[in-house]
Amino acid sequence: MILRKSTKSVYPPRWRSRAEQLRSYLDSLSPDELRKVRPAYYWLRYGQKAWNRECARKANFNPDQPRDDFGRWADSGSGRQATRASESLDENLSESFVAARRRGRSIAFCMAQYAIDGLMCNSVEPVSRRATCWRQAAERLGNCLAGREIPPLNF
Amino acid sequence: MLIATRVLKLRHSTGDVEIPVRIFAPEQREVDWACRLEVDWPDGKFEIAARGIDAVQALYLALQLAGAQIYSSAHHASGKLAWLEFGKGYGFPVTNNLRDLLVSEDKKL
Repeated sequence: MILRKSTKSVYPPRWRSRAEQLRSYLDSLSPDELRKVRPAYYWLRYGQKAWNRECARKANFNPDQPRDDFGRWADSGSGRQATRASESLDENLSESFVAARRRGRSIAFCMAQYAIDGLMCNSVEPVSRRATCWRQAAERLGNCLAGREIPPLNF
Repeated sequence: MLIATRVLKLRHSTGDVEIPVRIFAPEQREVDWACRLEVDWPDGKFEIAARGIDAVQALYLALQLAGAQIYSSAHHASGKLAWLEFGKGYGFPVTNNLRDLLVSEDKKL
């Protein structure tokens, strides 16, 4: 008599890749949960409308503002406002660009760095090395303001 | 004591805005010298005391830092900032590592 041991497979009936399992998990989440857990997939799934809503929310969009057929602000007394908003946006973008170039270092940070370099330079002897120290401190400040890599203070 | 001022202009929708760059006389401090510099931007004043081993170095580094501040500003990046003519530079030197930022006549400084 042959005894056969019957075993049940512990694997699901169909093999599922990790990607499939992940997708099914993400699909089971509510939109809000999905947005927190995997924002990229949220935007992929809920598409352009959600993206537009998000942009509008960030830009303080007011759907009641008068608009022309192309969605631009209409002229009814708010034309100047539109221009001002556009200029303000330009300025903000410009400031953001420079701030980004500064690699997150604020002007206050750069000034603090110069002050610390100054403490160092004040204590350097002989005088010829101190002159180099001041030149390097100024170069470090210039690079910091311009968002560039800060060279060493090695006089 | 104010010894030199250069007035840059910033093109704005309502007209040109003056941006004074002020250099003060170097002053002796405890150990070295300091030369105060101000750039009066519309959105706030940039002030610093450039330090040097003597009055000449402090003054020279102040001029370089004025150039560094101007060339790294959002206003320069916007192309709306000028001294005598737009795109012709500001007549300030910059610190050594920023020379590649210089434009037009400033490259000859």
